[in-house]
Amino acid sequence: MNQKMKLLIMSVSMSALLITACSDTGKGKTQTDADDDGTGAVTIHTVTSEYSSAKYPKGDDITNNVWTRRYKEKLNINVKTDWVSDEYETKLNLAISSNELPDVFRVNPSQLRQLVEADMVMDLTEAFEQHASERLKGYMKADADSYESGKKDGKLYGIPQMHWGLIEQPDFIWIRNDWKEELKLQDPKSVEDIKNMALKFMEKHGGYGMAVDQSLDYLNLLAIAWNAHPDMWIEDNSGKLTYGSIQPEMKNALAEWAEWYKLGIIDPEFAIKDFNAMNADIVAGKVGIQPYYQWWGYNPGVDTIANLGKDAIFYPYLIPTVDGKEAKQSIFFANNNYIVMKKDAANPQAVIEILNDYAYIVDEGNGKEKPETLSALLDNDIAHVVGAFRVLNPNSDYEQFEAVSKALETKDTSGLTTSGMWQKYNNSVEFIKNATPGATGDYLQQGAPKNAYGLAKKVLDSNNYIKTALWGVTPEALSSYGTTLDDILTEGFTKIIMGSESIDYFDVVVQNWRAAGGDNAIEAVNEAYGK
Amino acid sequence: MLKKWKQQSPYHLMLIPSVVLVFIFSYIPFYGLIIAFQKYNPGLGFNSPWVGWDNFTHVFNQPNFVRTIWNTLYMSIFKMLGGIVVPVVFALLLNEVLHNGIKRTFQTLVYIPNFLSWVIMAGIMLDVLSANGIVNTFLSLFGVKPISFLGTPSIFPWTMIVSDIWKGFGFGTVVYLAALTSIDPGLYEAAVIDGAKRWKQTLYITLPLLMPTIVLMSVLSLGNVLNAGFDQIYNLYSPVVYQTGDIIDTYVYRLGIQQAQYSIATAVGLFKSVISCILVAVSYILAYRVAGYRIF
Repeated sequence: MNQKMKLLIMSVSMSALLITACSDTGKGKTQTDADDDGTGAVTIHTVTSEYSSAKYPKGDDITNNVWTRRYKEKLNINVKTDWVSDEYETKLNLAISSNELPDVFRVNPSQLRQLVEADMVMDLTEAFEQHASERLKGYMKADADSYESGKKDGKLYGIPQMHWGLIEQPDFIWIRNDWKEELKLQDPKSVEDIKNMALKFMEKHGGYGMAVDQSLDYLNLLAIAWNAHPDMWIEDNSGKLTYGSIQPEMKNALAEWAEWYKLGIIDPEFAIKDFNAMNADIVAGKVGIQPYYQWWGYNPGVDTIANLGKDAIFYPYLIPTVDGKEAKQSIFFANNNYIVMKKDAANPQAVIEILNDYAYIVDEGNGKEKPETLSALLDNDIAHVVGAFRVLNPNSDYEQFEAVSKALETKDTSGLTTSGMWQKYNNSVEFIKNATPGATGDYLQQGAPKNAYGLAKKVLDSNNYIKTALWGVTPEALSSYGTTLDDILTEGFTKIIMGSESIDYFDVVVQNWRAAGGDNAIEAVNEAYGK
Repeated sequence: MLKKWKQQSPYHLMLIPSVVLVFIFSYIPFYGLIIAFQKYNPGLGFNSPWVGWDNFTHVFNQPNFVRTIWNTLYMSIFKMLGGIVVPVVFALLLNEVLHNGIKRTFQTLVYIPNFLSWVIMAGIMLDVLSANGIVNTFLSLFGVKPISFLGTPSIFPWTMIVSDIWKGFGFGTVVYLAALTSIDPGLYEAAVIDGAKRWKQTLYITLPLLMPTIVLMSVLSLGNVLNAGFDQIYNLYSPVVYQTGDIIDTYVYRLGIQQAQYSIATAVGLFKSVISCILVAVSYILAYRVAGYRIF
C-alpha cells in the first residue's frame, strides 16, 4: 500500500468515526425501563444537582445512598436518577427544551411558570389532597402564601419546597465586642449611637468605621432605620404597590450615609470591594462594625475567631431607628424551589409518600427511629442530598431555636427532638467550653448570650416587620429587565454616598429608574397582584 | 484538471473531519438564531410564540444601552491600537538584543501573563491598585494622593486598556518575532552596503516586510471590536464605574443571562455578530484596496 492510499484510508475512517460518534449520542438515550421487577415496585425517574458538602459512607453517592435505599425498602419505590449535574438549572432548561423530562424534578419560579404555560407539568391538586400527611399539609398552612404561589387558576402544579423559616430573615448591626467593652460603650439605641461608636473605634484603632461592599446590599440593611425598605415591593398610601428603593425615606438614609462617607466611617474603598474583600477586612481585624445577616457567625465569623481569637467576637444588635426605637424589618419571599411532575408521569402518590416520609424523619424521627438510622439519614449533610424529594418545615428554625435555648438555659436536653437541634446545642456548648472557631456559626445564631435568633424571634413575635408585597413568582415583565433596574439605583446611590453627586441627585436617579422600565415594572406588579 | 484533483484528493479528504465539525458546531446552531425573534420558552422550544423585533427594541430602548456601545468601542479600539503598536515595537527592540539568552528570557517573561486567567489577574490587580497597594505606595513617595484606579469613572477605562495590553502583548511579540526571523538577512547586508544605518533599515526593510503580518493581525482583531473583554471587565468593574466601564457583554449579562432570558441574549449576540461580520469584510476589502495586501 502506498503512502497516499494510507492517508486516504486514515482520513476516511476518521470522518466515519466522527459520524458514528455523533449518531451514537442520539441513540444512547433510549432507556430500558424495568418498571416492573415482579415485586410490584414503582419506579420514578428524577434528576438532581450535586451536593458537594455531603460526606457519604464509602460506596454511596447522590444516586445511591441511605435515602434511595429507604425508598426501596420502606415504600417499595425505586428512584432512578437520570442525570446529576452541578449546572442544574442550565441542564434542566436543556431537558425542558428537548422534552426529555424525568417524572419528578425541582424547578425555580420562572421554570415553573414556563412549564405551566407550555402545559408540560401535572396538576397535583388531587394527589396532594389525598396522600399528603397532616404534617406536610401543616407546612403548607404555616406558609400559605408560598403554597398559593405554586398554584395557577386554583390548581396546584408546583409543591413549594419551603424554607427554614422567617426567623432567618431579620438583619442586624454586628459589633466587635472587645472593642466595645474596652471603650465602655453602651448598646446602640439609635442611629446616632452607631455613628458615634464608629467614630470612637476609628479614633482608637484607626482605619474606617463600618464594613460594607459595592453591591450596597449590606449598607441597605441599615435603611430600615429610616423606615425605608430598599429592594422590596411595598404598598404605598393609596394601596398601590411600589418599589421601596425609590421612596423618599431612602433619600434620608442616603443623606446620612454621604455624611458618614465624608467622615470616613464608611470604607473609602467600598465602591470597589466585593463581598470577599469586605469580609477580609473584618477577618484581618481592621474594622469593628458591620451591618449583616443572621449568619455572620458562619462567614466571616469562623475565620475571624480563628484569626483573631475568641475575644474578637462580634455580637448582633437590633437595628435602631433614627429616633431610638427598634426598626421595622424587611421580610422577603423565601420559597425558591418547587417540586413538579411531568404531565404524563405515573404514580404521583409515590412522590407524595416520599415527601411524607422525609417530613416524618426530620420532625418526628427522634425517639421513633433508631439513633443510628437517623444519624445515617441526616448527619454529614446527607439530609440535603434528596433533591426534589423533600419539603422543609417553614417553622423548623423557630422551633429549633426555642428548644436549643431552653436546653442551654436549663441544662435539660430532653426537649431536643431533632438532629438539627442537637447539632446547634452541641456546637454552642463546644464554643462556650473551648471557643472552637468551627462552632462560631451555630453559637452566634442560637447559643450565645447575645444571639441572632433571639433578636429575630423578638421581631417575629412582636410583628415588627413588613412583608414584601411580591409574595410569589416574579412577574415576567419585571424579570425581563434582569438586574438593570437595580443597577441604575446602585450606581446612582453610590455616587450620592461618595459625594460625587449631591443628595438632590436622588430625584434624577428615580426618574432614570422609572424611564428605564421602572414604571412598566410597577404596572406589571400591580396587575399581577390585582391592585 | 482531473489529474490535479486526483493528486489533491487525500488532502481534501483529510479536511472532511474539520469541515464536518465546523458544520455541526458552527453552522447548524445558526438555526437557533430564530429565538432572537421569539419569546422563548424552553418548554415550547422553537415553537415559542413569534414576537418580531420586540427583543431588539427592548434592548435598544434601554436608556443605558447607547452608553454601553460607546464604552465598548472606546475601550476595544484603544486596546486594539495598543495591541498592534506595543508588540511590534517590543519585537523590534527585542530583535536588536544580540544575546540569545536575554532575548529568550524577556520573550518568555512577557508571554507568561497571557496564560493567566482574568479571574486571577483581577485578584492581583485589586490588591496592587488598592489605596495601600504597591502602585499607590510608590506614587505617594512623590507626594501623589492615592488614586482609585478601579473606582474613578474617568480612569477606569484606561486601567482596563493598559492592563489588557500588558497582559496580551507577549503573544503578539512572539508572532512578530517569528515574522522577523523570516526576513532575508541578505536584504540587510545590501542595505548596509548602501550605507543604511539601523533606523533606516528598520524603516525601509523590517517594517514593510512585517506589514502583511501586521495587517493580518489587525484584520483578525477587528472582528472583536464589539468584544471589549468580558472576563476582564466583569471581574474588575463595580457600580461606581458603570458609567464608563459597562460594556455590551456585561450589560447583557445583567439584563438577560443571569435571569435565563435566552431571547434577549440571542438578539444581542446576533446584533454583535452582524456588525462584526461587516467590520471584518470592510477591513479586508480596505486592506486589499488601499494597501494591496491579501490575507487569503
